[in-house]
Amino acid sequence: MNPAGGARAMIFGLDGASFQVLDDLTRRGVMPNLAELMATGVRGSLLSTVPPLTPVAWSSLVTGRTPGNHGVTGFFQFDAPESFSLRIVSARELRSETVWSIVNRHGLRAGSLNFPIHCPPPRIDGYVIPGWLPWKWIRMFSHPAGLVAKLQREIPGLDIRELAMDFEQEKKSIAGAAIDNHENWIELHIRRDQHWFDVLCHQLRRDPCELVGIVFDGVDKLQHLLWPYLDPALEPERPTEGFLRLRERCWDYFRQLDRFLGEVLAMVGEECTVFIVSDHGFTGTSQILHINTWLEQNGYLTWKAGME
Amino acid sequence: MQITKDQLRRELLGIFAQLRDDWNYSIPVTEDTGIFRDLGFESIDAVALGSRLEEQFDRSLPFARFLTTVREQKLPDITVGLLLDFLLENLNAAPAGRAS
Repeated sequence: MNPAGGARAMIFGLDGASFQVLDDLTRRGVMPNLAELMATGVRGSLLSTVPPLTPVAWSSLVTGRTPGNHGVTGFFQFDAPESFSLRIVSARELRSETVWSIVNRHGLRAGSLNFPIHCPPPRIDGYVIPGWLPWKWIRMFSHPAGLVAKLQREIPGLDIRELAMDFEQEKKSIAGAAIDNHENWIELHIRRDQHWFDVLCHQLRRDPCELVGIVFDGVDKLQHLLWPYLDPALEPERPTEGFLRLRERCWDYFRQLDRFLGEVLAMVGEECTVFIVSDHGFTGTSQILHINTWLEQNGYLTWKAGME
Repeated sequence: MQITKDQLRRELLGIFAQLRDDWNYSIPVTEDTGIFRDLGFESIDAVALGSRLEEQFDRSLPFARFLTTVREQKLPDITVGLLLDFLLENLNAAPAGRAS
């Protein structure tokens, strides 16, 4: 048995990871473990889902089905077929069987960490800590009951406030609004993904499962805010000191991710098949169309009183 | 089988009791307790509560419509009593089942 207690397959998820960035980082020596794996393993650019959104694509990844089949088609869905009220999509909308459950059907156990659309958690033989969850709910929505409290007792320094999401900060980053300090944003995700990695290592040692999956979503979070520092095509001819310093901090995030990969590979051993996967690509944009503003300006939309 | 208000109250208060450790509220939760004002919920927490209620009762609930109605009616808060009424109305009306 390998040191990780017999994991036979592992999903190492990088939310929003793209070869556009990863190839650059492997060439520059920022991610040597990934470089070696890409050189000795198999790699490929895969199509994302339609639409290429995080909840949709990870749902396809864990079910092997298209959005039309598994039922998750975006971040929001209508409350009911006749309703115009939108709800944030949850695991209850996921209509297809997940890989965790399939593994269970074959008498094997599964562990799932930080996957979107896993709340409420599927009650599988194994464990689930859902992703995309406010921290105050992570204990209640983890499976089996008491798991997170147990991890807090057994993992020194585990901070569930940082493990889970801070939605106020997320809103700012997605909107491209000023996060007070970009370096703080990077450091938050360095700490956050370290917490997830600590949980992963702990579970690999203490709660053996044949299939284990984890999603590191700091990749997506950094790229939303700091894409110009990561896309080699946007590198300025004469970068400022500030540019270089911030890019270095971004690279520190990816260095840590690469270290995680190296340590995981050592833990699970060669008999474990490791899949490094992403859900969608990434790119920059220089123009944004605010569709409601355009509709209003052209007389197609008026606002209800108090809604401007 | 119809679920009674007493049963619902017990289940709902049980959920809030489970949250107590992480939310640091020390006040007793009653039907007059407001989830935003008294318990410190934010809007995303209300959404999470909706998911928790659906899981607890194993059925889809029109919780988004409920939140929209609360907003449109400019109600100052969602009280536990209001939640109870919402659950009572919908759990006793809708057939059990998962979202489709």
